[in-house]
Amino acid sequence: MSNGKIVSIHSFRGGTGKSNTTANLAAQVALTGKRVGVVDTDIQSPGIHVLFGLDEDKMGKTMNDFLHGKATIKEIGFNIGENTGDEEGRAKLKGKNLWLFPSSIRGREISQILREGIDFNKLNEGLQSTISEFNLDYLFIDTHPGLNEETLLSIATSDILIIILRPDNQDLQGTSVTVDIARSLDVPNLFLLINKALPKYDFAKLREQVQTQFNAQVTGVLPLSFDMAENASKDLFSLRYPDHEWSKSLIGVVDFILAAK
Amino acid sequence: MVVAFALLIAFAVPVLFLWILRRYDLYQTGKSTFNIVTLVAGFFAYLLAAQINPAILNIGLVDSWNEIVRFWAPIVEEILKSLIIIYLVNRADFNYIVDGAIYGFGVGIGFAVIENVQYMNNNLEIAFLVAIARVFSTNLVHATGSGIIGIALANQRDDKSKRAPLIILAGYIFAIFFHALFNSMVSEGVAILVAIIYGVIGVGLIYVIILRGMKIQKQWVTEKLDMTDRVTQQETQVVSNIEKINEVLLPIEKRFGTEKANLVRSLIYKQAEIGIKRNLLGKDTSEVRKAEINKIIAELGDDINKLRNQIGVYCMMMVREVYAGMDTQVFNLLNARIASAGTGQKGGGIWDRVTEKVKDAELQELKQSRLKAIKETSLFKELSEEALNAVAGKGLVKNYSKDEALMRKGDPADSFFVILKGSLKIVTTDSKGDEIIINKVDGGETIGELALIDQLPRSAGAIALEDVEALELTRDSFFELLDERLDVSLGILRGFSNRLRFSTTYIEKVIDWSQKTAEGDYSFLDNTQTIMNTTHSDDAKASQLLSTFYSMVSKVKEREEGLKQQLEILTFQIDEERRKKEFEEITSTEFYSKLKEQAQTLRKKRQGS
Repeated sequence: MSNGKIVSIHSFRGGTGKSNTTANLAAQVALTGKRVGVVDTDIQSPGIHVLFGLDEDKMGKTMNDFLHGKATIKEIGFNIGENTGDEEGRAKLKGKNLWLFPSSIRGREISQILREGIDFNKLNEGLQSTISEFNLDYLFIDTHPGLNEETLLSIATSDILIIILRPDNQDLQGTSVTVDIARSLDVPNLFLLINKALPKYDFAKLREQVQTQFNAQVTGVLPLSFDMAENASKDLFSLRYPDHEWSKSLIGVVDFILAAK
Repeated sequence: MVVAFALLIAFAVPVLFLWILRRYDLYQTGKSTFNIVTLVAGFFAYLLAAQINPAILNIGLVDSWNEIVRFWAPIVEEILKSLIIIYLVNRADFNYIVDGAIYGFGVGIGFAVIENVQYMNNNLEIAFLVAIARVFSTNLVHATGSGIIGIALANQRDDKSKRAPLIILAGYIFAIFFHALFNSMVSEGVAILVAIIYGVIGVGLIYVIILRGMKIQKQWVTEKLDMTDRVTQQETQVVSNIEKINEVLLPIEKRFGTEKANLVRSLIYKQAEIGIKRNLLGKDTSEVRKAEINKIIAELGDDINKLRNQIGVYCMMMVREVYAGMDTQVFNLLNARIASAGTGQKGGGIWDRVTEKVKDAELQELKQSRLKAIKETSLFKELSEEALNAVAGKGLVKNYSKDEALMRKGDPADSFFVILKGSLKIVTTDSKGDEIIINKVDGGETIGELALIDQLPRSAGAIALEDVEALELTRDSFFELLDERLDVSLGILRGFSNRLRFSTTYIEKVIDWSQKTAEGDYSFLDNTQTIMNTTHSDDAKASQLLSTFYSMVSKVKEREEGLKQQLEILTFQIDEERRKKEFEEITSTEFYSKLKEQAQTLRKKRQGS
């Protein structure tokens, strides 16, 4: 009997470090021994596979194939624990239960799905069966930024919604709408995560401010880090540099995820 | 006004006489402080005489003032004036007869000057006439009288024979007689012109005696200067031709400049003084004074050695060589011979030989100073003298004047420079085209050598800040040198590796500091004290880097501490109306209503499945 939870990671705008945060959170949760899956539903501009060291050659069947009925969920799951590669951070995932469900990065397949539209029932069915087929504890969904039908679906279906925002007015404005939507859709666990905070801000104060504004849990304030930017696409930063300020704050978020009902 | 002018004449003209006489002290051994001493002593002699003369009349020794003027005043005044001369002549630093004459002349002038003032004061309406008349008559008589006593005292100094006191007495009697005769003439109302002629005759007398004294003196000097004073035969001859000293020094002045010529002049005078002192030493009977004279000779010897060093070997060589058989006649003859024979011709004479020698010496000196500059560079400092010569031989010495460029940014790098003399700036331009000075380079440093090896264009320009002398080594000649000389190659490699090792040490330090800074550990700021205290050029650059780094971290730390204290608080504003509008836009769609309906079921279904 599966009691798996869907964790949607969302952000109002691009560039918040969403994919990076998703990959690192999923990996950190997997490190605790949980069975974890990561679905890339950002079909328009997929990217999370890079963080797990997956390239076009290694990529087999994708979510695009599933949505077109050309592959089953079982066939898509790419076992990261068996394919960690040489990078120091990812190597720590060896033997862990972590699967990636990538989107196609082939231009033709991307344009096809954009033209034909996503079959949301099919996607929804896919998400549900992913959990049951792989007996997952957590399924992380990396969504496309903004609010469109597919992100609304992922929000609607999620048990935990993590909204990533940068501490600026535009992000806060967008986040406010997402928060309202999430409440309207009765998402059981609504978490906020502040990323790319400039060191000039008082983090504690910032956390309190945002928390009060939305009446929602801020699970962490991650600093803007050049080390992070430098390493972002090469390896899983928080696994490689667990003592880094950014990593420490991120690992703090894991506790919220594990504690969520 | 007239009185002031008269006063000036009354004072200046007699002093001028004294100064003229001093020129006859050919060895310039007299001390100018003594001239002042004698002048002042003359003043006091007058003040005393002005008391004694009336006193003689008052105590009734004589009946009339006229008698005082004609007889007593000359005796009293000459004796009073001679007191200071007796003292000065018997000092250890006394030299010869001319000194005695000048001391005497000085005290006479001093006496007369104050007497002039007194007379002018009594005859203010004719002050100017009084001044003119007296300076050319009475003053000269006073000077002559004391001068003759001075000569007599000087001449018989150390003469222990019975004759000596008689000669001194004769001097006094002559002086008093000369003085008394003048006073009598004036009292009888003789014409001013006659009085002036009388005064001039007196001075002439002194002049004749001085000339005779000089002749004897020269003989002493020549006899007494010997190798124990490190004075060569030739130099002695220069000394004995002392009156032609300016002529003698002319060629020196031409070749080596006025400054050197003056040093040589001073050397010759000092040598002469030693000769005079040695003569005095031989005749002196006072052991105390002998010791003092010996001390003076030793001091003069030291002075001469110092002068020799200042003058330099090459100039001294010329002094001796040129004036071997010296009088100026010989010199003129030689010059004429050389002129007619032309330079460079065999047997051209002493001039060619000496000129060549001096040129060689100059060249040698120049070469040495260049080699020294080359050896100072980090690139060549490991090289032997012989290898340095090879380097110097490959290069071309070039001269640049202020603001001239040795190289420009972007030029192809086909040579490098060893700066031998002067300093220059290394410059580049900023984005606006303004000049930025990156560095300053001095003598004993190299520029452009790295470009020679990596063949990249000049990364910066070099511009002379003053007159610069630089040794330019082209790439070809440099590589030729490396090819020909293993020792030079090895030396240069050593120079390079020294620099590298050196840089590495500093880089390691910077890395260490960088790591600490990254970790927020600023403790090294407190543990590091002095950085900028080195002199070597590379060292200076490296420590400049360290110093810059150090101050950078200090500032970062400062800023960081400032930030901690005043962390900004984000102020944000959410547009609630827009929020509501966007929310409604999304929730009003059919898709959303369906989704909302399903959402609950979806989750429940999953939980339950």
